Amino acid sequence: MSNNKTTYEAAYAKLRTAYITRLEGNITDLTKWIRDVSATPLSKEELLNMQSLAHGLSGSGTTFGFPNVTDAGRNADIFLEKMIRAIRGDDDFIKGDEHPEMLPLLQSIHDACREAVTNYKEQAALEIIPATHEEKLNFEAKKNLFVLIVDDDINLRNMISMKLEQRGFIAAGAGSDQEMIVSMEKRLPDLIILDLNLPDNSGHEVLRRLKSEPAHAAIPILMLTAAAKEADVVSALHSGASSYIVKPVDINRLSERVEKISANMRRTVLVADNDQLILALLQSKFKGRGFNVVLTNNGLSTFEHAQRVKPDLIILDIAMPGMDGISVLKMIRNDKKTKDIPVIIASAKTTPADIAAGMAAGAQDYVPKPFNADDLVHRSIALLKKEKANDT
Amino acid sequence: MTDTAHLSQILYVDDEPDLRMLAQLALESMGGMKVSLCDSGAAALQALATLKPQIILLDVMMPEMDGPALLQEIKKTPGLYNGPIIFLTGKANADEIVHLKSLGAFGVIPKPFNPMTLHNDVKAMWVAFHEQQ
Repeated sequence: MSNNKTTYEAAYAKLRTAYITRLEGNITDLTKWIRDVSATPLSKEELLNMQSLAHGLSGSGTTFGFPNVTDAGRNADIFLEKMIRAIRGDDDFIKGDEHPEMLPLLQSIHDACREAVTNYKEQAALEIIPATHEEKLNFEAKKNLFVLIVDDDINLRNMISMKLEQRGFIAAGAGSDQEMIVSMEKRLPDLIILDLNLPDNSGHEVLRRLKSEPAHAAIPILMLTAAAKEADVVSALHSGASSYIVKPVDINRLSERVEKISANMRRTVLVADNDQLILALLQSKFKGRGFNVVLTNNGLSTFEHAQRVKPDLIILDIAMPGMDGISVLKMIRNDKKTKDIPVIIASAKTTPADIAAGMAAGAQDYVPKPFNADDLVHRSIALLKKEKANDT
Repeated sequence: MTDTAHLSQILYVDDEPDLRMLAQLALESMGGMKVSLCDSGAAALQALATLKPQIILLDVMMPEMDGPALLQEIKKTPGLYNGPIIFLTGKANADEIVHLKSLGAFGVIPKPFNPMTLHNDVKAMWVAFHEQQ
């Protein structure tokens, strides 16, 4: 739970930054209205626009930590609703100077937004970016890895859990196939330790089922077998198990093996998108699956990051400031250091011509926006698995 | 009984993109739930054809089809969705709560919501819904 909280707080900070950008946009609208409200008559449409803004702020300000924005928005929302009820038709107008409450109400939302933006920027200036950012990312990624231990022996489960938690993993146990299914609905594990001889369903069957479901097929599985029966081991590896350990379990060897498998999983994804909300969401989703995540919101710096970080995968938006995604992709493909990095384009440009242009520039996949973040992460994992298979 | 123990599927309908993202983040990372998002009543009706959420969280004031209109559409269509519908509203006064409940809402969560405790509010509604059944 404390780990989820860390992920949550990082993502919340990003969402809050995006909210500040929205408030800055609102300040621009409010400044214009404040200037015009006494001079020009207001149509129903303009009043509805004002009310929509006031209502939105009243419902969101406190959620993002700005209660004054909510209060000012709520007062204006109530007043504007009365004005809209009083207006007689689409052609009717209201004169702002005949309603002396109007100007101060708009002014108070403006001031509350301005105050929120100023406070936020002062706070942000105080935060120091750690020098060892990449190191920190590695540590966080390891902390995030979730290992599920499926064995009917509760003592063994507990012993393995304790050992892995000491080494910085999150571990949970399941005593049966059924318990495993329930646990996986709550949170998908990054690694499964599976006993081959489960009471209610043989381990082989569980293994085959896991490997046949697209959402689970990419999860590495470490098998435990009661004895080194050659046929058992061959069959398990054939069904897709990553590795096996013979019982009675040597707990230190087991934890070394888990470290080794998970080291391969600590891969880096570079996400390039000019939308802060998408960056925050994908960061949280990828981190949840054990990835290191590097973010950028600018086309030009995407290529620089790709060269420097050498990520295992790039998620690339097309419409970005600095340089568009297609040009970035062409640069990536033309550079010796970056040419083999798989790229998934995630874009709101979705005509067949756009998609053809993206694939021609060298993308491995093209995901239309709006996308489901979980699907995108699954596709990424599947793509990385495919790339790895092609390498060897 | 098994149902009350395991709340995992939520549908959140709101026209405000910031709040959609934050609600999803809060419920998924703090509450361990899976949240599907819709930005309008029409999108929610379409989504319900395939999604089977356990709880629907619904913003009251949305353009085109507002929350109450969407609730009526859902109630009108047999078999579409029979679980609890919870409204989120900035006007959570006693009259408004009575009014929304008379339309068939199970409960009301005031807006602006607190992202740190939203998952607890939703879970409390879920438990209350099953106690009433």
